[in-house]
Parts: sequence; C-alpha cells; structure tokens
Amino acid sequence: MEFLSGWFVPLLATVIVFGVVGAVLIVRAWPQAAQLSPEEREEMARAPMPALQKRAWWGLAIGGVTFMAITAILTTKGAAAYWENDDLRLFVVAIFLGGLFAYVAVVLLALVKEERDGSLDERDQAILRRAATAQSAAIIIALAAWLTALPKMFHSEGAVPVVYLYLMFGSVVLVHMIGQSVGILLGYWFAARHG
Amino acid sequence: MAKAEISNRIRRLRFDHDELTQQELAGRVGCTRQTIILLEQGRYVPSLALAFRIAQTFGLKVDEVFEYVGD
Repeated sequence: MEFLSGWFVPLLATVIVFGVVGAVLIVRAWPQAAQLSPEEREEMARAPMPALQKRAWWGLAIGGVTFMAITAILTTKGAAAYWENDDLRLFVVAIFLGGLFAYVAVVLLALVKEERDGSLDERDQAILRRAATAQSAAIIIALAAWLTALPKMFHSEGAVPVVYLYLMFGSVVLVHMIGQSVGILLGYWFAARHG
Repeated sequence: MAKAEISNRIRRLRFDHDELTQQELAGRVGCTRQTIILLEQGRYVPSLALAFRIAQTFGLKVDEVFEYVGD
C-alpha cells in the first residue's frame, strides 16, 4: 500500500468529499421536483422528439461505439502493443478520427437544421447549457480516474510511459463527446417526468 | 419542477382560435411542441419574448394570456 502516501491521500479525500457533497445536494433537491401526472407524462410522450434530443442520441451512439471499439482493442492487445505496432496505432487512430468526424458531421448538420427550422427553442437551449455541467463533471471524473490508476500501476517504476499521455487525451475527447450527449438526454429525461 | 407561479389560458385560447393544434402554435411562436405542452400543464414559465409571441399570436396582451399566481 505504498501508493497511499504523499499526494494520493489528499487527492482521494478530495474526490470522496466532492462525491459526498454532490450526492447530498442531489438527494436534497430531488423531492422538491414534483412529478408529472400520468396523463401529463402521456401527453409529453406523444410529442415528437426535439431535434436536440435526436442529436444527443446520435452523439451517444457514435461516441459510445468509438469508445467501446478502442477500449476493446487496447484491453485485448495492451497499451505497449499499441505504442510499438505502427499498424495497430494507425488503426486505433483511424477509429478515433472516424468517430470524431462523424460526431462533428452530426453536430454541424443538426446546427444547420436548427438554424434553418428554428427547432432549438429556449427550453432546449436551457437543457444544452445544463448539459455542460454533466460534460465538465464527466471530464473531471475521467481525469481523476487516470490520475488514480496510473500512479497505482506504475508507482514501482517511478515513471509513466508516454503512450498514456495520448490515451488520456483521446479518452478526454471521447468523454467530452459522450458527456454532452448524456447531459442532454438526462435533461429531457428529467423534463419528461418533472416538467 | 413544481407547478409554475404563472398560470395561462393557452389551451383555452387554442380551442377558441379554430382549434389550433399544439404543433401549429409551436410553429407560429418558434418553439417545440414539448414546450407548448409543458406551458399548458403549468410546468414551464416562458421567457418574456416567448410570452409576447404567444400573446401576439392570439391577438391579445401578455396579461390577458398569462397571470401571476404566486405571492
């Protein structure tokens, strides 16, 4: 348990304190949100899905597939193989860029459609703004996970291999993509139940 | 979200204006049908701009469509 020394304990304590405070705030806020009646929910369910919600489902699908594909390759082949094998690295980078470009294409097409049809109203914009909170939280959690795992994995070596810098960057980009979609979908999920 | 402190007569006014559908009203005022549904249910308080657009659609003043019911 040598890694439980130095800066690791304050970091872990900070993460736990923030987690507990966040959980308490959520629990305190939850009962204040009145539920929609079954009739009101049914009426909401009959309405067509807003353009922003459709965009979020696409973003989640693209981000999720890209993330799972890269994770599957890296866990089966290993980070060292990724760094040493040029073909494997190019393949992973191609998947990453493919996912990124597909996501950017979906967002750009949606923005053009929203601009043309005026399909992004003030409620959608409020949900989009709140989604940024989920996005930031997801990025901080991803970075905290890396900063917790890497020292634990490489503490005895005294240094972290360079390949993990690239993997951290790639994961943060994907978490950024997925985090916004999840935040938007949570916003609509909450609105469908509580207004 | 709890019931809003602003009530409105949008549902009544839609029926009084040739049974305007929620989708048609949403299209005229530039919002989604979900927003109109939540407004009619009293679950959402619109911005001033949206409130004015809704009132104008029915040819009324804002206070003839919306009413403050809070303390």
